[in-house]
Amino acid sequence: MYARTTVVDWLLENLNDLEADGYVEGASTPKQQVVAHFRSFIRGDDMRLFMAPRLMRPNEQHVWELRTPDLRFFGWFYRRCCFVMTGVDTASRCKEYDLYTGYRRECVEWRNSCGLDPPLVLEGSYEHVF
Amino acid sequence: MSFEIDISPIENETADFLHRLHGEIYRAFLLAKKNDGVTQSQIANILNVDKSHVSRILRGNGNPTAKTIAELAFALNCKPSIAMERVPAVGNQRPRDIGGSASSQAPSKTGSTLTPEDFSSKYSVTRVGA
Repeated sequence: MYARTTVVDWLLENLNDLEADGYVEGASTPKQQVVAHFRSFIRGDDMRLFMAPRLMRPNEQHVWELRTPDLRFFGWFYRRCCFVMTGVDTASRCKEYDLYTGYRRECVEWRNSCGLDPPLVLEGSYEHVF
Repeated sequence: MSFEIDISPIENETADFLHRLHGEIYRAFLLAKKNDGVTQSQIANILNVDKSHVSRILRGNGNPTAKTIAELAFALNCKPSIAMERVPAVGNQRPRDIGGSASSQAPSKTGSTLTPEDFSSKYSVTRVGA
């Protein structure tokens, strides 16, 4: 997994202080969610079983959304199982302010400008990218 | 440059366990929904709780007790199974040292007596009957 520095900075600044949305005593904190989700990704678990990754619409842009109960990560697959995160936010903010389109556009613009070797994008559905 | 989220080994393992637990519960729900048409409302009725409580658990936002897991399994026509598997040592690392920084470790113990910390717990939910 790769991430833009903006994503890393966001995690460093916010992750320790975030509480689970709809706070329930003992529920996983966003920090625990992120660690477990990344670990699951790296371990090669079937991510479709819980909080499945979503290919955002329009599908032709091949921008994906990885989800934990309280957080959303936006990015794309450069190669198989090689996910590049370009944006992150809380699920509640994404829904309240409808930030999905903005993060999708940001992903497309950034990957077009970051100078990676072609092909820039691995296209396809879950089976093709995981 | 690599980035690592600062999390204690015990919090890391707890997060992973909760992630796998939520995944198993959600997988069992999807299976019951597909095979028996079970809905969240039906589960809420059986458990005598509000539907939002069931929804929260299935989304991974809850912290279900062992009793709730047992009741949920009953509602999903499943039988939960429990296994406490010993974490194998890697090299000269004791099991609980794996994946953690030395500074955040509890003092190491000597001798071969097994302690609760020597174990990792694992729940899984299996469907009952045909």
